[in-house]
Amino acid sequence: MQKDIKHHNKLFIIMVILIMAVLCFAFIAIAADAKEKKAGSKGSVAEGEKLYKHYCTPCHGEKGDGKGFNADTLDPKPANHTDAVEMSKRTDEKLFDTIYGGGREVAKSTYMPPWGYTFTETQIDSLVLYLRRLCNCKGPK
Amino acid sequence: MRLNKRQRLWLFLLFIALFAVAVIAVRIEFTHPWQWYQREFKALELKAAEVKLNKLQAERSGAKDPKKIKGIDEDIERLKISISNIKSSSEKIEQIWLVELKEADRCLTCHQGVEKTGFEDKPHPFKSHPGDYLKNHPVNKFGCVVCHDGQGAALTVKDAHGEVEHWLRPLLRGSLAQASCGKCHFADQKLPLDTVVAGSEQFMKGWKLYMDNNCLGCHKLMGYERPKRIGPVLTPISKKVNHAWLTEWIKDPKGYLPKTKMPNFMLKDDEISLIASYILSLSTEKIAEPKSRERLNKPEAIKSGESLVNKLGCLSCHTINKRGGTFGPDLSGIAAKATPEWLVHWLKNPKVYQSDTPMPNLRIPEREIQDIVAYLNTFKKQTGKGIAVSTNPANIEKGRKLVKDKGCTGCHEIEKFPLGFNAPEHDGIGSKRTDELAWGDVKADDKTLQKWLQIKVMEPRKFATKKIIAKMPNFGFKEDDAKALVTFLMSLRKEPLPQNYAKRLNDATTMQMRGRKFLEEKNCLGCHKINKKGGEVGPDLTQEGKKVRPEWLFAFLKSPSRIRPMQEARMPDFKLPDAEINTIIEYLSFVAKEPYPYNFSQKKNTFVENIKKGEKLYQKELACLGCHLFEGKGGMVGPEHTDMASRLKREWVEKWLDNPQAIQPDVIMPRFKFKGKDKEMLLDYLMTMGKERFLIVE
Repeated sequence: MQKDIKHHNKLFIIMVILIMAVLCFAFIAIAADAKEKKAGSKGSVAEGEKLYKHYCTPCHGEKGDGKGFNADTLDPKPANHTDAVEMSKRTDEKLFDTIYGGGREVAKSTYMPPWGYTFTETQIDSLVLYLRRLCNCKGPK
Repeated sequence: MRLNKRQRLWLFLLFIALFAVAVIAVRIEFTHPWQWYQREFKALELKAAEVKLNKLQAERSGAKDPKKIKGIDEDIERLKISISNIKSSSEKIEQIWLVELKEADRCLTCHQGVEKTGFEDKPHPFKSHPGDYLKNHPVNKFGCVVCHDGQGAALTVKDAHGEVEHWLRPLLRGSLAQASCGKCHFADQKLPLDTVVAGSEQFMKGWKLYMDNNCLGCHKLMGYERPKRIGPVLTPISKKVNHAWLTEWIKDPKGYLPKTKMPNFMLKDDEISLIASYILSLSTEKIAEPKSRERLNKPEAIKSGESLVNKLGCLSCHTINKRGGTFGPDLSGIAAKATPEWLVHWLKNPKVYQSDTPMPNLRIPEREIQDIVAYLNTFKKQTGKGIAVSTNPANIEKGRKLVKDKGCTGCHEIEKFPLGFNAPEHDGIGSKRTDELAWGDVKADDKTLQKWLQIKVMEPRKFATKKIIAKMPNFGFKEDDAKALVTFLMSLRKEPLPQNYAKRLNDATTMQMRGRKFLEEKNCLGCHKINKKGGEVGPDLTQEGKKVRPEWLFAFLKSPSRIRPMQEARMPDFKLPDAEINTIIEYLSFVAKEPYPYNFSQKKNTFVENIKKGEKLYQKELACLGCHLFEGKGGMVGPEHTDMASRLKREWVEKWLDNPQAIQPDVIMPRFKFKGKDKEMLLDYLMTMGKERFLIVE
């Protein structure tokens, strides 16, 4: 009789552990989803600036005005990131998606390549932060 | 005759004294200093063994595992045997007799710890031999004297170390013992100068200094070839410099260029005047570069020149304002030396002025050259007024004789003077007896070869007297460099060792060594990186052998052309002969672990539809032309794609497309993810972009 009780106890503990593990995974998934929705909430402007200066300036220019040395040959022209009017029409999520999936992702010029496999999400968040610094504007709510 | 009491006492005392003297004499005869050392070492060894024994016993009492206890017991047993062996050992002379070397070494008689471990921190003569030299040089095969010199058979400290009168080979103390490396290990002239031989650092440093300072330009040495002259050609020098600079330079080269290899000949002013008169008389033609002064002193030209000097890679070889390389001369005072006409002429193509100069043709357009010269012309280092020169033919002739006599031709091409040797040969200099050396008026208590060489290298005229003529110039060696050079010179011995002792440590004929030597001679690593070493002006070449097709590389090195529009530095045209180009290809294959001789690339079968889908990917979906140039159309960020199929290996392009950052972490090219067979089809299309297509289309 005692043995049976012990056996039940064991099963119960295993069940609890399993349920907790499932909950943990679910929580991680929810958290990750939340993170994607709140693009721009992590990362730093300094990191964004560093990445921008290295990877983006050939087309978007040192100042972010879309006049990089490689812009001449491109049509359509690279976006002017200092244009507050245009930039404030785009949400942070949209900026994130454009960097992540390239022009194709947002039905714009394919000359903008996808960077989602090169940068981490935090790095893209940093870039979005830096873009907001460049235009000195905020996205629509 | 009967002795009285008093006399008997005297006789008794005399007898006692005689007996005592006899006892002392016998005792002196049978005791030796080495016995004391052996007793001392025995005590040391026993003490060490007992410490070990105590440790083992403590370990045993703490151990529980029966297996471990058994192991410790065995160790203790062995240690006890060796302790009793040490205790019962008798004092004796230890001799190694090396028949082949005709050497009987008794050094181990006192140096008892040499072959044993555990005495590293003990004083001489008990100390263990430092380093791992004995691993490859066991004492029973090599003895001690072969490397350290001294008098192996002697048994007193001073005699054994050979630091006594009339013994020719005193002990080589400290790193000087590396002078003996050269007895068996030949330092080949064809090895790259940065060759490392572990344990022989001082010897190799001396060898490097010997090669680098062109000692072979004047001194003959068996087994070494007379190298190319390292100084510039002097016949046309009047086109380049004026008399003021030239005379100041001859007077004190390091005054103008502190790091120059040109030594100071310590000439008198009248000698300098005669020499300069002669050299400047050799060419009367002027350089016709009418446009060379057009951009001088224009601020925008100077600014553009400065930026060009930084971008084109000049600083990979030259130093300007304490920044840059040391392969070529420091340019921080160039305006005091060379005329703008000469600089323009030189930069257009250095090989026109001097056909064998190491400076390559950098393919710079004339307008850019003018700006560079405008910038260089701002470096007007203050030099003296110089010494007056003469145009009198008699003086010119005197100058000519002086130039020959002083040995200027050892480093410089002047007229058609043949390559001669201006100084005593160095064969066997390490075997010179001290009484063969000219000491002049130098007084020293310990006149050794080492001391003589050290003085000669650092102050070459120190031994000169009225009768002893010393011509060697002063190279300005610092003490530690001089010591390394002396180590190398001391290695140049007369008495050869048996053939089976000779061993080549580094083979200069291997792919790797030949390549490294070649890259060193051309200073390729001034601009390019290989295995994390080198400059950043040009692309990293570590993977080059994997990346480009050897056929293409050959054609490129034959006549370099632009590949990266974004990069302003141009690969110089070195005008390399075919054999040298192959040396490079061979070496780059070796570095990238690719087979050599290489296999020509195989063609791949594909279908027209695949190429069409690849084209769509290239042109539309990935928009590669946003960054890459193809036949005049496209962007300037990445390397040009025109003729890329001839240039790049398909396997490498595939690896690159998979993850560019894995190969080159800071590359701007993004990483793509391909669906299905997209990557294959894109590769098929890429392989159509060039003269060579490497495809068979079905």
